[in-house]
Amino acid sequence: MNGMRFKVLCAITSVLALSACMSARNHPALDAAQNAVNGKSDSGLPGVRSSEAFTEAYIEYPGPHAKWAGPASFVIHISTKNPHWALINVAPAWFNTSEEEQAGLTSETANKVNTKGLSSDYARERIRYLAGAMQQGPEPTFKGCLYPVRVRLIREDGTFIEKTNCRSEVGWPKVASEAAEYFLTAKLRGLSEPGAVVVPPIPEASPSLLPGGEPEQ
Amino acid sequence: MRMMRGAIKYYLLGAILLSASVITYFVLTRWDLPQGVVQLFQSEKIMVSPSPSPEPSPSPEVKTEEPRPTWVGSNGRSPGGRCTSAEFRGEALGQVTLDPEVWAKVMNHFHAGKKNLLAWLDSHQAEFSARTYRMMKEQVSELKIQRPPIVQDPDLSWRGIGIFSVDPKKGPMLRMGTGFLVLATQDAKRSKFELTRLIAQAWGPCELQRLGITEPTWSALLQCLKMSEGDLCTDGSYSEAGWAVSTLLAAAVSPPGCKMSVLEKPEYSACFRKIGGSE
Repeated sequence: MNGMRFKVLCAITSVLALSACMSARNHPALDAAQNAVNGKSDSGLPGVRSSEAFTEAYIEYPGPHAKWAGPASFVIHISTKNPHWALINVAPAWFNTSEEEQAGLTSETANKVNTKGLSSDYARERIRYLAGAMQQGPEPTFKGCLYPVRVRLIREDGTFIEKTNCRSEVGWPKVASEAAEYFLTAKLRGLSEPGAVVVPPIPEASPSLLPGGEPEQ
Repeated sequence: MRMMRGAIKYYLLGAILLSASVITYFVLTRWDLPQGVVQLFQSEKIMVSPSPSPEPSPSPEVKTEEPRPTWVGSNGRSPGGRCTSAEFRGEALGQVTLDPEVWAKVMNHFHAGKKNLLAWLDSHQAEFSARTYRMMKEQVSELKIQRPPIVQDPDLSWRGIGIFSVDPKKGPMLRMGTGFLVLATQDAKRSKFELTRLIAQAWGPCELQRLGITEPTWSALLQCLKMSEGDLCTDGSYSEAGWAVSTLLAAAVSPPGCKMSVLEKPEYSACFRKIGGSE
């Protein structure tokens, strides 16, 4: 009888220990790590986010008059109206073309560029961050700007905020530049959201990769 | 005693079962195992590797098409040989690689642009005051260039342009987009022209005003182009004049190798000749 009791006790102890181990998933640190992997947590961006929700964003770098044959106007449009995937379009149009398509390969073989590169949730979060930067602090001043930047963020009800400034290292123009890079990377390379995208193989970092190279004279 | 031994035995059994459960759990849920392995654990299905697709039959005709370019972008000239925007797509900020040989080309073009502009300044010294001449010379001689990837302007990692920028700590500098490296290898003339234009932006009307030069440095050229220098650099203004001056100067000292449509108009070509340009 006593032996039977011990057997039952052992079984209960094992089950309890196992469930304790499983419940470790609910530990805040593990949850945070898991959510980060699953794309459920905050994006880790420092700074202020707008409390408003935006369904569309335009980031534009207007170029000079065409007669100067300078850089063409660049526009990236992000729409989060689709519940699953953000729609990202870029002008000039060739930004939307994959290298494989350019080289004349078929779309079947040219699957490196993933058009479903970003979930709408991620895109909305990024736009809220940009909106937070645009609504925060004094507007940077500029004179005789050669490289303007214009951002328009559209809310669900159709109202919008729009600002124009000169690209600079401070304030929202810098955040707009980061957002443009983020959305372009999402469109052309895909971001690592598990189950969401086909991410192309990332090449080994080259030793010649020198982020933010020191200026040379 | 026998009871204790029995208990230890069951504890050991429990521990083994527990370890096995934990390991299996982690293997199935946390590790990034190939799908086939996960399926093997989950359903014990026998995996059959897909049969290889048949080799494509050789095409009866051998096409001799020109190989298409591997870059994505605009090579900066229309079919008629007119200059258009020259820009090539770069790469994500975290994946940019810089070939030192290509960067050496960019640096050569950068130094050539500086040299040409300084030579132009010397030959037009009489048109500027001594102070303006000295400051213009300094401005170009000390101008720096920053190679990609540029974390201060991350969008440039994808965009193939360069920009003239004034760093609050390091002063005026050119910041180059990753795609510009393609231009440097594809079209040396255009690369030199574009770099010269960016350098010449250090002499733009508003940039010279920022340096405290109050004399109307480019008034003759701007009047010729029917642009007014007076209200160019007010708060919140954009500098079309900066693009005009820098483009014409660059075209005069480092021609782009294509036809500038603006210079096909007689009024503009006359202005261009005034600063020493020849079509």
